[in-house]
Amino acid sequence: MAIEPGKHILSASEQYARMRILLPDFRAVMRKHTLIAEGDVRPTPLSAVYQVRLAYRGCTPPKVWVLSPTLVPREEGGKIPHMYDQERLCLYLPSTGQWSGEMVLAKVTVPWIALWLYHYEVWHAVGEWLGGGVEPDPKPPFTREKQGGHHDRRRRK
Amino acid sequence: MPNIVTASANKQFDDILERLCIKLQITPTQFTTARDNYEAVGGWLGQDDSPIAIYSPHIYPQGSLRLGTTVKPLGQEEFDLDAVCQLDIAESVDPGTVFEMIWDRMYANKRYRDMIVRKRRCIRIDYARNFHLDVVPAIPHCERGGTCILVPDLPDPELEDWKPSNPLGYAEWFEKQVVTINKFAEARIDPLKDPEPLHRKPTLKRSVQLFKRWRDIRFKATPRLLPPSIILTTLAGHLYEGERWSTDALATILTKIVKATRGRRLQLYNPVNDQELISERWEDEPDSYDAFRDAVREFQERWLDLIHSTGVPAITKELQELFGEPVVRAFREAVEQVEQARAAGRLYVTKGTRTLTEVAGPATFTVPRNTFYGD
Repeated sequence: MAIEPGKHILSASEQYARMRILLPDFRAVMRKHTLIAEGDVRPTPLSAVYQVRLAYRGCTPPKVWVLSPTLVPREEGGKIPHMYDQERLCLYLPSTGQWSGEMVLAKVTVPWIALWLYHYEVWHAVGEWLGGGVEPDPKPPFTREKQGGHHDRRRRK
Repeated sequence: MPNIVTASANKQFDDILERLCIKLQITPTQFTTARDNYEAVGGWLGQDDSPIAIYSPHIYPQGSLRLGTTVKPLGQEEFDLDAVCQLDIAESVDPGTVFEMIWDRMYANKRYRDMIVRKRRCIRIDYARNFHLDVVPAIPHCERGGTCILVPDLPDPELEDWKPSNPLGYAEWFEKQVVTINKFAEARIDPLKDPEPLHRKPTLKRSVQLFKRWRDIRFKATPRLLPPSIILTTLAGHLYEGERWSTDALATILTKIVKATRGRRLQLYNPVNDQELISERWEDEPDSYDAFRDAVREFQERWLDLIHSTGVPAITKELQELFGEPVVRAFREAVEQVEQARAAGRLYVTKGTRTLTEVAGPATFTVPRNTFYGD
């Protein structure tokens, strides 16, 4: 993702302002320096409508939950791929610059959510995750990364 | 704007069904094999030294291969191709004699001798690899003229008769029904519209393929009651209203069949030959008619529920129950196309409903490159 010169890491309230303009039907609020945005995503015309929530504090990467319908594994006790703790969506590979703080949530994170939900439905339909990705070795616990700019070298796990 | 959602949902549905139909029909290899075999038989029958050459034999395919509505058989069943062998002979000659002339010519060839079987109305040639070719003897039906023919009906040697038929006229009729009337074309604003035209096989032909495939699965356990393809094809041709999507086309066709079978038993004549009762089996075996009527009623209910439902996993499951395993392969193929667009940076999301699309516009965001991760 190319970063235009002069761009800076966007604060939560700057993301809030962009969210209001770009996705006006999302319900966006600022709560103690944290942007909370909720809205609907329908990954394809035949798909269910999913209600999702984004939380963004400016200093850490955005967090994304699906509020409804509840995400479910394919069989009881099974795991949904590409999630953190089976609670939040893992939308990109950390420390690769796929996400950085100069990027706009509405234009980057929200399209990824649509893509993730698309593959989640496909996974249920055909039994295989066809959207690619990396499933890391579960042994080393995920290191919480600091929000950084594009040129900021982040710690690798 | 619910109409836009409906239009694009239909489009997405139709895309899956189109991919499914390509998987259901006979493969190009099977097609080539069938055509080679058919041409070889035609060559043998029409060769200069053939005793029937003086009757100017004219060999032409009829049925699903001619119409473009082939469906691969389920499991081990054979797929068949029908060819007419028309001889220029007056109808004063009895049907058994014409049948025997063609039989004798086939028998004279060592290759065919062990492959041919006598059937009530044709000579069946059994090939390896689950394929057989039915050669239907025929003579011109002078009284009716045009493409009308008479074919022998030989239930037993005492009861032989000529039966009127018109496969070429039927094919012409069917092609006329195929023409799509774009009655909703102007009202459509479709955010998922493909940049290139995707539709090659006309909607009616695809609807017939789906109808036949459903029939094969639905009557798998009761083959005796299986409704013949000619009946399904003729009903579909009559009842199609020019819908653009096969979702809608099949809904119309099924709903109208349900209505038409509410009263007394349906009688279906060949649209180009009113002397040919193509539903004659229903007269002889009323239980096969009842089975057809009940099965179509159930299919219509399920189809209407399906095309108005949402949720890709549920839709895939129901499609699979109706049409079998190729549904998943068709679905995966559609996903591959989306993934290719994604890799090429040509996948977008609409701002309004956050829906994936391959068509960029002022109201779309590009899906940026990403790698899904996990814990």
